[in-house]
Amino acid sequence: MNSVHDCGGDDGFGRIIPDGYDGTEPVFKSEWERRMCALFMATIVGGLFTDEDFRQSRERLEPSRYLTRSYYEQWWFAVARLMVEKGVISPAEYRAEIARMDAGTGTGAEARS
Amino acid sequence: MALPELDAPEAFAAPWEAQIFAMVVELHKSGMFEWRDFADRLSREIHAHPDEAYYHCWARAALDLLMEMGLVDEAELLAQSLAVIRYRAQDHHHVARTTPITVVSGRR
Amino acid sequence: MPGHHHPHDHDHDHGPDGDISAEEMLTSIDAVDIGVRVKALEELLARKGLIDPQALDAVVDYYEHKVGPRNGARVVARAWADPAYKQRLLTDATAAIAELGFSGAQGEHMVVIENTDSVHNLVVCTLCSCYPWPVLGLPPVWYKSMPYRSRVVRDPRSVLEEFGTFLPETTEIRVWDSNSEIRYMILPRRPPGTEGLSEDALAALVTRDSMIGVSEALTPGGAA
Repeated sequence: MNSVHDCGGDDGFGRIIPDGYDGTEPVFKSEWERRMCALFMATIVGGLFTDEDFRQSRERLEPSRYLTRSYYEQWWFAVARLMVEKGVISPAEYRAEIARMDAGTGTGAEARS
Repeated sequence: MALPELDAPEAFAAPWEAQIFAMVVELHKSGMFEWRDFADRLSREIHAHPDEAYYHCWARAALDLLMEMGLVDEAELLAQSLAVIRYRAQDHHHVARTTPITVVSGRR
Repeated sequence: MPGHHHPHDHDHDHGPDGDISAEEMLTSIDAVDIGVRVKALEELLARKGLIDPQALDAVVDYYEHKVGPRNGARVVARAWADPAYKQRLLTDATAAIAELGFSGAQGEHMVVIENTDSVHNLVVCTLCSCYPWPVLGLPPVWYKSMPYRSRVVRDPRSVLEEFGTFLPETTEIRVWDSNSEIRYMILPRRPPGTEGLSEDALAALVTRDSMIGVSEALTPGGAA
């Protein structure tokens, strides 16, 4: 697929490393990144999708999201899409699970309808 | 038969329309068939399928003619079509590169 | 904003059971806190018996703490110390790396490229984030970022300079595009003044970034 991910040679993305970079950084910047990485590994090793499926799913992320969402959030988009498209989960049950969790934690974040 | 307005932005609705148009014109120019042989078939297709897009008719007329002339084999066409569909389904650019993607020569 | 958002207007987007499509679902929840989205997916899959949360912890712990650039550094140090090993590494990297006990996912087809005084090499994955996990661990954020992926194939010298790597103008620079079929690792130049050092001491000079190729190995007792 030819989309925004195919960025080799494009201009204008700016600096690569943050000021004060010392050659190291934490493997994960937060707990959810760690869980997302684990979830990816468990689902792909479990045979729920292939490497090709995963890459294509990530490349189908629309450009505005691809360019603005963090790396592991892009993984979430890719895996969540595959789980629905392969019939592993339904959108309704996933949205219900999120609503249930939100009610429990009271974060106020809820699915837009 | 008049050719379409090729410079008009709406001349072709999709790349494949331009491709099948160009193939037919070029094959005719190289003497593979009389224009009348194609035009008759196109006219029949358009009358048989009045609601269909013009280039669908054009493509069917072209394949009909080329197969009748023995220039295209139906089985081969089918196999090739399926190969294209399979390729499209996994079309991505992740191919093994065994040479550098970029080389910047050192200044002598 | 004109009109009102009606995700249920488009019948053709609906799944067979009348549910919304994957795309609509993603859009409907993409403003929810990402931690909640991930947790909910994990719990849903765990409840279906498809994943085991305890096993997840073990897998990630492995990649976070047990696999990392120290593995690659051992490979490089061995190659510096043992010319026969270096030859095997450059001929069949996957096998030579496995000799030291490093193998596994995302390291199935390795190629190691040697930096020399006249040619400097570096690695990118322009399309995503292909990276040799068994020897380098999980990739750093900058390696996966658009700025690196876009610029390094157009202007690698400026990228090297941003990393503080200033090469002579006469040095040729080659950029290698890793992908799922082949994953590259760079064998950095052995720093001067390291004659007689043990493999452990040599390995301590090998940084992750030097094996991606954006910098050189450290020199003993000083800056790179």
